[in-house]
Amino acid sequence: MLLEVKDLMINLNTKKGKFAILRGIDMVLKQGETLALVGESGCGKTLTALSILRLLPPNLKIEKGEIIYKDINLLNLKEEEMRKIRGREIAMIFQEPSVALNPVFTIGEQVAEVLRVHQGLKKKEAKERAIDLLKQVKIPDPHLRYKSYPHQLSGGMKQRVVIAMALAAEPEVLIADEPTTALDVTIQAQILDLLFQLKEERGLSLIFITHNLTLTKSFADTVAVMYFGQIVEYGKSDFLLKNPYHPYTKGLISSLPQDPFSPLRPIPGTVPDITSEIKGCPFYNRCSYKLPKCSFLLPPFFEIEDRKVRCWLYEDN
Amino acid sequence: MKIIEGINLKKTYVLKRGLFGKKVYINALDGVSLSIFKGETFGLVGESGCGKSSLGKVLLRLEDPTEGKILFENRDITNLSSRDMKLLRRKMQIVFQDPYTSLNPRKSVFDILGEPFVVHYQLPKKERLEKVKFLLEMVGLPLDSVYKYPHQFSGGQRQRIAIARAIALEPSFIVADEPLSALDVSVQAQIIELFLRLQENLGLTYLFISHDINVVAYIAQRVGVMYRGKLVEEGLTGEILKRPLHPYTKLLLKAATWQREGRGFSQFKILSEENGKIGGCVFVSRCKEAKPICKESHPELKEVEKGHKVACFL
Repeated sequence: MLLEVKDLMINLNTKKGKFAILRGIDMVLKQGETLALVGESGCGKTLTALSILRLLPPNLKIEKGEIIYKDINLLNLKEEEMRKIRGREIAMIFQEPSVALNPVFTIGEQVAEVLRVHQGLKKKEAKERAIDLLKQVKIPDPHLRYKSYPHQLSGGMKQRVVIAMALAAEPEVLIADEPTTALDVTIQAQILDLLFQLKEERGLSLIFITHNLTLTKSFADTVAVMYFGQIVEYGKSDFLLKNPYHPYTKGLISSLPQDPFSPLRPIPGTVPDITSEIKGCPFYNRCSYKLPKCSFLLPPFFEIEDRKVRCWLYEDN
Repeated sequence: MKIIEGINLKKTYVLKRGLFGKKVYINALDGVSLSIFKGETFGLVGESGCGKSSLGKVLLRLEDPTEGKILFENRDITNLSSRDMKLLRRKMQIVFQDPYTSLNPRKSVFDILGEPFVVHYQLPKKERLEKVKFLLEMVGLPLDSVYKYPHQFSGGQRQRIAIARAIALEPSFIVADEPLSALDVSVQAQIIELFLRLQENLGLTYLFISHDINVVAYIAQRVGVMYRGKLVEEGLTGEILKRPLHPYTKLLLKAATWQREGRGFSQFKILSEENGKIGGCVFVSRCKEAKPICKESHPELKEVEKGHKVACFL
């Protein structure tokens, strides 16, 4: 077990009071595995990732929980110790490459900077290694591109640079937060292809965050579907997609236009407001399979073979 | 019957570089012609920056074309005065991509939805309230939304308000410019259903602009594919899905299957993402099947069989 998140809870502190944002997240990332976190905006998937790196904004507080990386609880580390983990052990790729890159430095300098800081390389060595990294992420003419500024590159090329930066310090865990959402479809495929090729070559372990459940089909080993600050379904990806158990997972799959001839079955209603107090299952008001007790009792995880589902329908299995 | 027709539309934006710098011209639309028929949904796909939004705006004359003609119900509206245009706006409306920016945060739903009736018909308040309630019911929002403000609604509900505003004056033609891309997957499906229901009840014609060919295939009867300011393929949705002719359409469809099934993305070989500027076909720098002639001139959009047009030398 490389990385384990145990019962993680995060609160949002405002003048109006505390509101729970993450309501107890448990998940495990094994060596060499790809774990996909799937859910809609606001479900807490990005916050889970940010709390692993301890990069939460100041108004969010970790109330409870442990994040164990190689037998160390990251939440107990001092800030300087944490700095050695970030980048070197666990690195992250963000959604929007144009925001992740500094517009006033060339892309080569930005990659080389990571190498100088984390690997302690001299300027010249760093430049050579940076060019090599640009080559590995398949940027054409890396020698020339080293001197390009971010605005001179397309979105796909920029995301390649961001990947090169994330890999520069040779981390063991890579967190990719919607790495292709800002890109056009044809480019998305190329970037994911690259990402998984590099993951295989370097034996990385990957946490892949996406709102698109079908993207996980071919490459994620394990999928965690999140809703309203909780994981509602957790299991092996191929089986989970073929045979979803939780009504929310089912709804997500049937909301996608699969082929023009089968009608869409959208999930009715909307996600509850985080400030509202919810006793039972947070999916209750949108669920078409609901039972009376769902309105006041929060379902625990029920295990069916190697799947975990947070839904009362599976109580007896 | 044609409801709207664009003939050889061109739109050039001028970017100035610095005080004495050269002017840079960007051809957002480079000679696009298309017709949309009454009652249909015409889907327009392409990647960001290909000119699909510009086309929507030019057709409604929210922006004026640099060249070309626009016919609405067989009447040339390219040079109509803004007074005449105002009358015509009752018949043509738009729904924008981002319901967070398209609704004025300081106006209540009553103000937002009542405004068209003030501007166009000077209706008194009581009648406006009736109209607003009727609209809310049409788009499936609760009636107590009347005096709420946009920030009290979720993204999907806001998009419903924007749609209600667009249908307020009973238009016949609506441009929907990426109306789903700011929404979550489960809400997207709800909005698609709403668009389809309104079309059936009100006999609307849509120009549905999207980068997601899966969505367009679901909602549109005919599809146009745009690439760098040009329409490269056009035809019935079924035809295009079954037998795409242009290499770019093929690429888009492959990407769509890949998104749907999550499989087979290794077949995407790294082609250049850079777009060539020099003459020749707009797609030549990314095309696997390019021939020498493709570098010299851009192929015209030609009808290959009934209703299926493609701009490609192959």
